[in-house]
Amino acid sequence: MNFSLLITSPPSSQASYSAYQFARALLSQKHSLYRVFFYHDGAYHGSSIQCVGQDEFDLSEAWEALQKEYTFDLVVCIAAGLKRGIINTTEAARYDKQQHNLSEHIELSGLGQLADAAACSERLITFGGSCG
Amino acid sequence: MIESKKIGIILRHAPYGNSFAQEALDATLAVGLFGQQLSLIFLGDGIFQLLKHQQASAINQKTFSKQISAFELYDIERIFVCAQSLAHRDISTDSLCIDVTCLAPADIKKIMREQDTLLSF
Repeated sequence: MNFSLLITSPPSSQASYSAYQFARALLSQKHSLYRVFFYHDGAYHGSSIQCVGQDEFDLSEAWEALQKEYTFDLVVCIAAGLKRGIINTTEAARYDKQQHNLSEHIELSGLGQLADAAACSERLITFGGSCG
Repeated sequence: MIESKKIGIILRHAPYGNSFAQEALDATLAVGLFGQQLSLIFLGDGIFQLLKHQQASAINQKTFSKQISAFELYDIERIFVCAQSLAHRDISTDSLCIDVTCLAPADIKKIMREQDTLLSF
């Protein structure tokens, strides 16, 4: 079965770890993952300058490794990302910002990617929906 | 053009306390623009988004009821509200800023089952 995930919680939330574990579980059982869409505070997953403690699980690194192994889209909502200071070189130039920080393995794109994921996947599972 | 599916969007958060409800609304309009058949389901504190007479500019926010009143411009017509959520908060449909279909929890569940995909915010 073809899955997509919508993650609305930040990397500091347990829901985000559950989302990663769910993705790993479905891929290990021969299902496919089409897209992971990071929205709301989930956009913080896009930062490449987050540093986790040495004895802590690095969620960003884990997603990158999983994506290398199985190939799927990791997309941060551009509107949600820009509001939270998650920005790539193109947008930094557009908004005249001196810095950029988007992880290389993650794309910045519009909500159309969420609509597309909802339309093209057999299952779209939301993580982090009850936080806040 | 992407495939058209029945998509149910569940809105459960009160407006303004954080940006969750606002971003849910943005997502709703975006998914609607992509030709999906939308049903909106307001549950729990989500019904506070629908109240009339909101003046959010006083707290530097965009007023929800104004944005929600624009739903008809987006052809979003299937709007359901949980009757129990209204009753628990002592809110009548007269206090809401748009016409909604008010349903008992069992009928809300039925609407949810009819959808191809549910998005929960």
